[in-house]
Parts: sequence; structure tokens; C-alpha cells
Amino acid sequence: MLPYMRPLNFRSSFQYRLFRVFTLLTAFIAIVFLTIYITFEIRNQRAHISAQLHLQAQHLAETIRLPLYAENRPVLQQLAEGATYQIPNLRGVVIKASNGKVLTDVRLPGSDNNADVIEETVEVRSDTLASSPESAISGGTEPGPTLIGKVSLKRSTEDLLLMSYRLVAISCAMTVGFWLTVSLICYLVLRRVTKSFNALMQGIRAMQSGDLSARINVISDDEPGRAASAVNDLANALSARTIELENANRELEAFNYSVSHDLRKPLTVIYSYCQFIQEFCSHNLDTQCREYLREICEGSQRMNQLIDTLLEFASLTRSELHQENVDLSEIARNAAKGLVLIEPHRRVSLCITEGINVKGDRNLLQVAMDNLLSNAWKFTSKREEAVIEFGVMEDEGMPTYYVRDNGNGFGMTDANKLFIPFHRLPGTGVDGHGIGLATVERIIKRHGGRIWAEGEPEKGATFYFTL
Amino acid sequence: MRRLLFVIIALATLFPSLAQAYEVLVLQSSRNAGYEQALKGFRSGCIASQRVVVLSDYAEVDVVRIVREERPRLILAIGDAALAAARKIRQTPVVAVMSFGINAKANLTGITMFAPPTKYCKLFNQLKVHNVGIIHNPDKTGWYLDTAQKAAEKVGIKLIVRKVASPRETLAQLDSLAGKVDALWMLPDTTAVTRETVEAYFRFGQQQAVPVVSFAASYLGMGAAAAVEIDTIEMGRQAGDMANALLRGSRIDTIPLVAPRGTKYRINQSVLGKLDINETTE
Repeated sequence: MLPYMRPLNFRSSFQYRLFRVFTLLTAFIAIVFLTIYITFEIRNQRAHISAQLHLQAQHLAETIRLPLYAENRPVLQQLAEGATYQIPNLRGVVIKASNGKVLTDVRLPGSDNNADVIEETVEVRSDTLASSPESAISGGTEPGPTLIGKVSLKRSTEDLLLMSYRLVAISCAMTVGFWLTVSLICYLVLRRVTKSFNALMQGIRAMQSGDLSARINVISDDEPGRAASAVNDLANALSARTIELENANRELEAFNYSVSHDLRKPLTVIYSYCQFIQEFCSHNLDTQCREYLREICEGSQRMNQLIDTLLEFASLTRSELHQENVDLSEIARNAAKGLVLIEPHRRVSLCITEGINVKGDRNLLQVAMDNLLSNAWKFTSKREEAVIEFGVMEDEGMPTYYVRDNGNGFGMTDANKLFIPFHRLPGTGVDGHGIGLATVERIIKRHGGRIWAEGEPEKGATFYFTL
Repeated sequence: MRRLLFVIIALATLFPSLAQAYEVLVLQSSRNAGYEQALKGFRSGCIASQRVVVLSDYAEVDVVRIVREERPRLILAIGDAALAAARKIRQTPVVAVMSFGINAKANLTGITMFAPPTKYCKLFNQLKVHNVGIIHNPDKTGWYLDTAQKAAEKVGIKLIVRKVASPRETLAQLDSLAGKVDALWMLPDTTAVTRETVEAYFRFGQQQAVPVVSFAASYLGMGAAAAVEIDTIEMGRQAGDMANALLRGSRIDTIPLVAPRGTKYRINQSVLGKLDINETTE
């Protein structure tokens, strides 16, 4: 089977490739945006939590301002512990005086792991509205709130982690949903867009398979549609040309047949009169004349044989095939027996594989085997120990039959000329009309098979054929 | 020609001296509104020539040199910084106003920042309170508390006194007053009242539901129920009267330290309303 006759693989189809590109690109873009979104959102959440913690620290700073100024440790401890209950996920509260002295340090389990903790430190300053007695009376402005101390809050990020997992899960689910939706829409759009393209390909495949009457359904005026119209036009032209060629071929065959048939009649007259002269008037002829007459008779006979061959060759294409089970081994054996009877003195080793059964026209296959074996017989005539072999082998999963000999052989440059009718390779030194292998080729082709030859000068030749 | 040259040189050297010749050197701590009003009042009461030096306008002012070179007859110190600068002067009489650190000294007199206790007692009576809490530093305001005790006893008010030596003690002392007082009297004591502790007074007042009576109207906005505010213009005028007496030749030791004569009540109606105290008028 030729490569272009292979059925179209779905993976190599235009539609699949486009779909694959679109879906992969969409998936890639979706993943990129998903990653950016998740990163941004997690950072945003972290910043939000930090801001929230900062506000909570500021609130606590407002609450502890007075006890911090008084360095009232029990009250500060109580306020810090209260903050750990009020503020969720709080892991620690550290309150320091303005000189850096730690007044309160409340730690909950997990506060030492800095990787999972966010810390916010806020300065505790005097009330901005508060003023000293001097300023209150003089109406002056204070230089700014004084530093009383610092408060640090540590908060775990466990909830942020859970939030991140939830965010990732929801985002991934939405992304997959989006991707599937886009892919489905893409598939539907591609299916519609490539409809005319697929119609074009289906039509071309039908034509490739031998259905020259098949035409492509033109369903749009886009590029594939216009290509379909062009292919249809080409197919129409090809079909018309094929019909013309078939007609011309039939006329040629009819001409061949009629010429052969019409030549036989005058030839028979010539041959008959030559026979008549030889039998009844030969005593009136001198030796020279009798020799001429014998030449005329032999020439007439050769011409008659040639006409028979031509008629037989022509009939190959005219007669109908009668398919049946045929034992090729038996045919080969019978043909070989006939050859041995003709030249019994020759030492020829005939190897015929038994049990080769095929389905075909018995008569035509017999002609083909006769030609192949007689061809091998003739070209091994100069060998003292000739070997002729008929067998079968497996080639690309199909049975391939062969006839092999160790005769004169041929150069592979002449391999294609072997099957041209009436064409004989120069220097063979073997009688014949050059029609035998052409006849075999025609029979094999009528059976839907193929024939080819391999050879090497003076080493032999092998003719392979399939059915 | 020679005579004309002499006159020109004499005028050139004499005119600056004449321009700097004045009777009262006014040392003003800064350009705060209260100080400006006090100066305004002083000028309205004393027409003597003056030179005003605002200390906050300069990085450093050598007051001793100014006094030595310009020889004013009197120094008016407005504010604590001005008083601190004037304390370096030993000979020239000093009248101090708008200062918390005025105390008896040979060449110093002035007007205190403490309104007469009777004014406060009158206000407490109107507020119908009997137990009044006071936090103070005896070293700074002990003298005032003595007069306050006497004035309170006369009108049947009991003063519950807490003493502090540093601002940090104020908070604990305030806590000790919880449940024992009907009102809180905020004295202009720079130990008991600081920027860091002033908030505690009003928080105490809010938590205990008692009125806080302050000495400056600016605290009304923070939660004080009422204030006995000193009229700074009148204080300046009062200082002007002192200056006139000194310039007329009176000895400074005959002019004692006095309380401001001009005061006015300021109230925060919304705080009083929250404390269920009827509107109070002077």
C-alpha cells in the first residue's frame, strides 16, 4: 500500500493539531494567570493581616499607655494576657519601656517559630491631645508626643496557610473549569471552521482509494472550499481523460485483434499453396526453388505463431476473470513436467513448494506460471546444473510468490524493461517474441497484484509477484 | 568745619544709645498666645518704655550682658524660660508672670499661676461635691495646698490629698482615690500633671463618674468638667500695676507675690450632662 493511501491518523489531523495548540496555550495562560493571582492574593492577605495586627497593636498601645508609663507590671501582664484571648491567633505580646527594659513578655506555644509568625511593633507615645500645664495655660504647642515604650505583637500564620490552601483549591477548580469550557468552545468552533477542510480531505481520500467518480462536497467559499472546487474540476478533467484513454485503448485492442485476424486468412492461403506446391510440384522445381519454398513455409508458420501470440495477448484484457481456488503448486508442477518432456536430457533441479493455494482465474494463472517457468527454463539452458525454484514468502504481511533460477540473469538497470511487450534484452541468445513477461504482468495486474524482478548478470533472476 | 565734624561723630555715637534707652526689659519665653496676651495687658497698664526680647527667637540670649549694657530699671519675665533667664540678674527688680516657678526672692515678685482657692471652692459648692481629691507635689505646691485646705474647710469641703514625688506615682495615687472622692481638683503642679499623666485624670473622672476641675480651659476638650481659667490680659495688667509702683520708686520687698485677680469659670456642658450635674453659672 502506498504511503499516501494510509488512513488519516487523528493525531496528525489539522483539527487535532489546532485544538492541541489552543488548549495547551489556554492551559499555559490560565496557569500563568492562576499563579500570579494566587501569589498576589496571598501577599495581599499577608499584608492585610499585618495591617490588622498593626491596628491591634496600636489599640493595645492606646490601652497600655498609662500602666506602661507607670511601669505597672501586673496591669501590663493582665492586659497582655487579655489581648492573647481577644486577638485570634496571637502568639505573643512583648511590652518594653522606652529604655528597652522588658516589662511584660507573654508567649504562647508556637511563638518561637519565626517562619510562621508575623510580628508588629508599635511605639507607645503620650496622648497627642495632652498638654503640660505650661502649654495649657500659655496656649503653646507641644513639640510632639513623647515615647513611653513599645509593644510587639506576634501572630501565627496558620489561618493564612489554611486560607492559602482554600484559595489555591478554589482557584485551581475555577481554572480547570475555565480551561474545560474554553477547550469545549474551541473544539466546537474548530469543528465548524474545519468542516470544509475535512470535507476536502474526505473527498481526496475517496479519490485516492480509486473512486474517481467521487466528488468533494463544497460547503463554503473559504480557502478549503475553493480548493475543493479546484480538486473537483481536476477530477472531472481526469475522469474525462481516463474515458478518452480507455476508448483509445479499446480501439487499439480491436484494431490489434482485427489486424491479427485479417492477416491470418491470407497467411493461411500462402501457407496452403506452399504446401500444395511442395507436395505436387516439387519435382518440377530445382533445389534452389525448393529451398526458397521451404523458407516461405517456415516464415508463414512463424507469422502464424506470432499472430496467435498477439491474439492471445489481446484476449487477456478482453476475457472475464473467473475467480476460484487455485493450487499454484500443482500448476507449477504440470508446467515443469511439460518442460522436462520437451528437453528430457537437461539436468535441471526443480524445487516447487507444495500447498500454495491462491484465489484467481485458473487459466490465466496457468498461462502466467507457464511463461515464468518456461522463461526460467530457457535462460538456464546454458547451465549444466540448472536450478529452478517456485515458492512463497512473506513481504510486509502479504504472501509474495517467486520463481527463481540460476540462469543468465540481468542487470537491475534493465529490470523495468523486462515487462515491456515485444522488448527483448540484447545478448540473451534465447528464442522468443518478447511477449511472455508482458503477458505475465498483465495477468498479475488483472488479479490486482504486482510483479517485479531482481537479478544479477550470470547469477540468475528472481521474479516476485503478489495476487 | 571741625565743629561740624565733632557734632556728626557725637550724634553717631549717641543715637544708638538713645535708641536703646528704655525702662522695662520684657523677657518673653515664646510667642505663645497666652504670653502675647499677658504682654498686651502689661502694656495697657504700664506706659513705660520697653524692650521686648522673645527668647525662643534666639538660640541663646545673654540676658546678663543686656542688662549690664542697657541698664533697664525693671525686668518683666513672661513664662518659665524667661523667669529662668531673669534669675541670673541680682540687682534689677524682676516681675514674673505666667510662670509656675515663682517663689520668694530678694529682687523677684509677680503673679502666681494659682487662682485663689476660694474660686475653686465656690465652684465645688455649685457642683454639690464634698469630697475633693487633690494630687500634688508638696515641694512645689505645698504652700498653695495650705490655703486651699483653709478655704475648703470654710465651705465644708473635705480635701483628700495624695502626695507624689514623681509623675509615675500619679497613676497609683489616682487609683487610690477611686470611690473616695466626689470630684477631682487638678492643680497646676508640674509633677502631678504632665503630658503623660494628664490623660489619667480624665480617665479617672470618666470611670468614677466624678467631675474633674482643672486650671486651664484647654483641658475641657479632654474631659474636664470645669476650669477656673486665669485671665492672662488681666494678669498682664496686674503686672503693669506692679511695674508702675516699682518705677515710681517702691521697694520690691514691699510688693508681695500675689494671686491673679482676674479669673473666669469655664464649663463643659456635655461632661456635666453625662454626670447628671445641672448647668452651672458663675
